Amino acid sequence: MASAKELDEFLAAVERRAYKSALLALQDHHSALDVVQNAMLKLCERYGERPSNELPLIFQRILQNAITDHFRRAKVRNFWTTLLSPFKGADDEEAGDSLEALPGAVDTRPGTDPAGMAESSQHLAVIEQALAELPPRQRQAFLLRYWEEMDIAETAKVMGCSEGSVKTHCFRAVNTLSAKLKEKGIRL
Amino acid sequence: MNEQEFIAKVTEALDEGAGRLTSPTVEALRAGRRRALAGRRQRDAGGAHAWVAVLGWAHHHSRMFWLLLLLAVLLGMVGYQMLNDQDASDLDIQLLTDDLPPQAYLHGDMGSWLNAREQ
Repeated sequence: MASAKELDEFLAAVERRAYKSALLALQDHHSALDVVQNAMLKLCERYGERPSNELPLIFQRILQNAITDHFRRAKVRNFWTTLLSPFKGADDEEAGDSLEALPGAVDTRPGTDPAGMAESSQHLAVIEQALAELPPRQRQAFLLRYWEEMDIAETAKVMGCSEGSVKTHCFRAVNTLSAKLKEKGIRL
Repeated sequence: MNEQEFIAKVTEALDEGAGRLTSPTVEALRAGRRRALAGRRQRDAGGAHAWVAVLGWAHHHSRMFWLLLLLAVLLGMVGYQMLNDQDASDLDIQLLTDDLPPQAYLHGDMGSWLNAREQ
């Protein structure tokens, strides 16, 4: 059973990556925060008594389900919004958030080397944008397999698909990402 | 650059991005984590509080506590006995109503066993 300290340490270690993953998927700062906070709450409430070595897999599963649920709810909401749009005023429309414009995406505070920081921030924004543009399953597979460093079996469990599908998604994700970055003039 | 190097560079960039979150975002995540952990502690404490409350009540109403405990034990014993009686009577009914298959009478040993019983 994971102690409170182990849970705290685990969540502290994954919360930033979880937020970034949610942000890449949802492209909305507040939704990403909500999703991560709910996932943390659910993990502590329902699975806090599980051994600490099981926590990463469980947390990722909760997080990915929360992201999918958020998409489903947004789809239903969009349906009603579209249906009722003739009654909606023009001033209700909101400007779309781009990933770079999100308040939590990148810290733009001045650093020690402004030129280097600016270039690095620009590269980072382009890479994140390219990742955000990947098809959802490819992005999910890439982030779980390579960023969260899960093996193929674990990634398959979290994604609820076969190991073969994970390999295919990862292969396609790497190819698409590489092509996109080349297209945008980013050389890694 | 091979595939592994490309992946390493991208994940490195992602790590860098995660390390550069704005302080309000970091604070919001920390607050969310604290809330989640506090919920768990509260639940654990809730269970402990319930036991403390029961023991406290038992201490203050010791006579009533022992009476209730005795009643619970008695009820448990009666229930257990009733359950056993029910099982035994079911077994008797099954034995009494069970028909012996005709083939059993054709068996040589069965005849000798019945004779032995008659004697």
